[in-house]
Amino acid sequence: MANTDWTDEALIAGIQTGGNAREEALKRIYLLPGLRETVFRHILDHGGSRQDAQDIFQETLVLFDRNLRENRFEGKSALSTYFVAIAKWRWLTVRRQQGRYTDITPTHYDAEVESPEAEAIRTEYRQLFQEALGQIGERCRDLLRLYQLDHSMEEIARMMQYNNADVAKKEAYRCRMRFRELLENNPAFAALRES
Amino acid sequence: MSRFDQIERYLQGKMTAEELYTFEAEIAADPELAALVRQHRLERHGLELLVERDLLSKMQAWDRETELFQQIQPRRAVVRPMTWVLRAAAVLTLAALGYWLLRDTATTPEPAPIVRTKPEIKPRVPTVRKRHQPIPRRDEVLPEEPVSDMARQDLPPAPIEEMQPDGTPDYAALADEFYRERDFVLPKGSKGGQSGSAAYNQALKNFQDGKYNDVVSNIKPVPAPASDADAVQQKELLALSQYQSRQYTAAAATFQEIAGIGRQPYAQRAEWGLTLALLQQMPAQKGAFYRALTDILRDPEHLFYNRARQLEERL
Repeated sequence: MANTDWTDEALIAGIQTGGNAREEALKRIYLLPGLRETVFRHILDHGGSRQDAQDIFQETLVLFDRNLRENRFEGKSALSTYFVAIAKWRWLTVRRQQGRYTDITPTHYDAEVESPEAEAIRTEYRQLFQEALGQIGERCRDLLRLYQLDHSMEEIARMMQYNNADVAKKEAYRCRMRFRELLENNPAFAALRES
Repeated sequence: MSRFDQIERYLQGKMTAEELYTFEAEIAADPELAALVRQHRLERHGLELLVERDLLSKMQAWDRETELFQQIQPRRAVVRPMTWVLRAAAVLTLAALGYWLLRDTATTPEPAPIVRTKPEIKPRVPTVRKRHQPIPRRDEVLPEEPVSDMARQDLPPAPIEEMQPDGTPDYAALADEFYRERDFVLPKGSKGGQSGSAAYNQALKNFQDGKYNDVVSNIKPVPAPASDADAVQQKELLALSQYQSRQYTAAAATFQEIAGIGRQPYAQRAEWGLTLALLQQMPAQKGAFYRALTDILRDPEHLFYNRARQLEERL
């Protein structure tokens, strides 16, 4: 049932519950009046285009969702403030990656979005991950996505029409091993891991 | 419980305090287990891409839903100020008309005899419609490409802000807006970008330094076997450099060649690059552009599916 009383606690609970509740909560945040405008204004005021602003806004929702699922939000500010802080951090990162001078200092953002290690992994391995995920097949991708979103094996079996949770679990393991194998067999992956 | 499940429970934060304490002690004592945990963590970073891709496509759907909702909303807020303007204009027109009639009736002269004269034929001045040129990138200044005006009239109307004075969408500006270097190559300084041969690394360095002509002249157009990732990567840099140098025809041909090799993710990236290179050549390449765009839109799993949808909506 749709939650019509969206407090910060309800939004957090929705995202952490997963499934439809997560989707509804994320949609609510995505369409929250004023939030998009705030992010756009920041990007436009700091050397970005409208397309940059749109990209950053969407990337922010991805990071926001991940952080909440991984319990990284400490509840020190309102959720909307946290969202904007992530957007500012993300834009700062993009500008630095572009090698652009930026006058944004750490006082302009107050959210530690990802550890530098996690960020480096995501950037450097991204292409290799995409390559491997592109080869495991659509069904494996769907299954692993549900698994990553912490759905139970019973739920996965129901959603993907497996006979039971055991079958779903075996299939998830098989897909995971296939993903691992594709990564391991990629020489660029080994080289990167050793560097 | 299997080792696999145990590590996953650990990484998902599902262990009790006691379990956590024991397991972390075990990791500290067993380097093999520690390596396995690192591997699981790395894989989970990779699987997050699936969640990301799914969420991005949901955002596109929400945007479309909102646009649809806004379209069916009554536009009273917009119409109301317009009616006041129209009313004021009508009053002013009536007042001016009344004044003119009164003045006219007071001093009506004798009607002048009608004299037929031959219409003067003025020499026709040829009109040339210039294509709006985007701001040249970096320090590159290249000659203007000849563009045919044919078929412009057949295009669907674009949003007002993207139109040029002659009513056609500014395709070049749109392509510039959708082109992002980071979609193709890693930013300068990333370790992952320097994983190829010496030739590739040198080409990448030139590309990242904006020396596109050096990349174009140094990469030899050798046919690449499908399995040779390094050759495909070099071709990709060549295509991108051609694109950045505004050699769009050459860029389109190189992107097409990479797409034909079929090695992922280069092939999908090349399909997107091809689409943008053709968009730069619109309307001359209208047919080829729409074919390339449709090819991406046919595959919701395509890396650039969402971007292609955004582009389609803008057109």
